[in-house]
Amino acid sequence: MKNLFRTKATLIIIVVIVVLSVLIGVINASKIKVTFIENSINAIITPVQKLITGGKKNIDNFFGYFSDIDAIRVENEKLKKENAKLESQLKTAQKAEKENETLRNMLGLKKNMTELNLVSAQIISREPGNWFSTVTIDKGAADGVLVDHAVISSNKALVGRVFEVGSNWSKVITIMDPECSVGALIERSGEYGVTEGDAKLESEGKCKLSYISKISDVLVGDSLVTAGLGGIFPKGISIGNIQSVQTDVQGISQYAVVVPTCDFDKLEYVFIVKD
Amino acid sequence: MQYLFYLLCLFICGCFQGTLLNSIALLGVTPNLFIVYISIVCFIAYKLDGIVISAIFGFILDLLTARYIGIYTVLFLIAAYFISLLSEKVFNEPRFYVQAIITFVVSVFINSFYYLIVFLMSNRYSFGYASYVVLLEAIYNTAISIPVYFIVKRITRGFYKDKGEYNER
Repeated sequence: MKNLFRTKATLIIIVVIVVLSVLIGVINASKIKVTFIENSINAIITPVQKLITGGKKNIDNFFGYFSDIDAIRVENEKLKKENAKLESQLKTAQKAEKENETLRNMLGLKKNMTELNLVSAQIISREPGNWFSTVTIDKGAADGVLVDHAVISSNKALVGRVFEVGSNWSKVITIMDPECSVGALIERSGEYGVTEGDAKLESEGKCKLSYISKISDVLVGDSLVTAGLGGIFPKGISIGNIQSVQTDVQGISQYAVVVPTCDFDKLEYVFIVKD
Repeated sequence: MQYLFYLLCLFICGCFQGTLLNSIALLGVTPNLFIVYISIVCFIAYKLDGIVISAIFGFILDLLTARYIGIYTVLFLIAAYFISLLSEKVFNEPRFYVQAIITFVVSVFINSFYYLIVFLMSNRYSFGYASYVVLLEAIYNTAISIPVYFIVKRITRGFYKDKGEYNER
C-alpha cells in the first residue's frame, strides 16, 4: 500500500479524483443552463443520431414489409372499405366543426387542445443508461423551445417536459422518470394526486400515482389527466389509466400503478406545447 | 493515429448508445458501450492513455445523460486506474477471458456506485430492482465485450507493442 502512494501518477490520480468530486458538487448545485461544451457535444452528435434513428426505422420497415405481405393485403382491403366510410363521416364532421366553432364563439369558451401552440419534433435518441427515462428531440432553442415546456404525443397523451435545451436539440424527461412528478386529476372522482416515475415500474412501462389517502375514491380503470396546477402542464391532458391500487409500506396512504396513455416504446414524434 | 482512433470510438459510442443499443435491449436493460470500451482500452493501452481516455469517455457519458455532471467521470477514472494497475502488475499479456471478467466487475462497480450516489441520497432506492439491472447489464456488457475486444485489439495492435516495458518505467 505504501508503494502505491509513492508513485507520482497515483498521487496525481488521487488529487484529480478529489478535485473532480468537489467539482461535481459545485457544478451540479449551480447547473441552471446548458454549458457550452454540453451544447457543442450534443449539437455534433444529434444529426448523426438522427441519421442512425432514421436508418434503423427504414431497415425495420424494409424487413417488416416482407414478413407481413399477406397481412398487408388483407389490411389494404379493409382500409379501402374503411376509407369510403370515413369520407362520408368526414363530411358530417366538417359540418359539425363549423357549427361547433360558431357555438364556441357565441359562448366565448377558452381555446381547446387543438388550438395549443404546438411544435412537432422527432425523437432522435433515448436515455443512454438504465436508470432514467429521457428522450432527446431534434428541436431546440432555435425553434423557441424552453425549459419546462410540456411535451405531448400525437394522441394528446402526456409524454413529459423539456428539462434541457440546446441549440438544435432538447432533452425531455418522461413521466416514467423517477425525477418527474406531475399533478394529476382523477377524472371520475375529481380527486387530486401526483403521478411520479418509479425506477422499477419504469422498466414495465408504468408509473405511479402517489399522495392519495386511504379513503380516496380511486378505482381500477380510472383515467387520469393533468391537473394544471403547477404551471407547467396544461390542464386536461391524458396521463393514463389506473391499473391497480395498493397500500404503501407504512399503511398510512395508498398509491396506484398507472399505465400511461402514451406508448413510449413506439413513440417517434412528439409535440412541444409552447403556450 | 491512435488518438484519432479513440476519437472515432468515442463518436461511435456517443451516437450508438441512445439509438441502436436501445433496440437490442434485453429484458428492458440496455448494454453500456462506454463501460465496455474503457474496460478494454485500459486493459490493452498504456496506463496513462487508458486513464485519460476513460475520464474523457466518462465525461461525455455524463453530458449525454445530462443529470449529474462528473459522476461517471470520477467512476470511470477510478475504474481505469485499477484496471491499468491490474493489467500492469498482474496480467501483462492480455487475454480475452480476463478482459471479460474485468468488464463484468467494472460494470458492477460503476453501476452500483452510480445508483448509490444518485438514488440513495434522494431516498428513492429499490435494492432488488437495482441488483437486477446492475447484474443484467454486467452480463450483457461482458457478452458484448468479447467481440469488441478482438476488434479493438486487432486495430490497436500496432499502438502498444512495447506495453510491458512502458508500464514498468
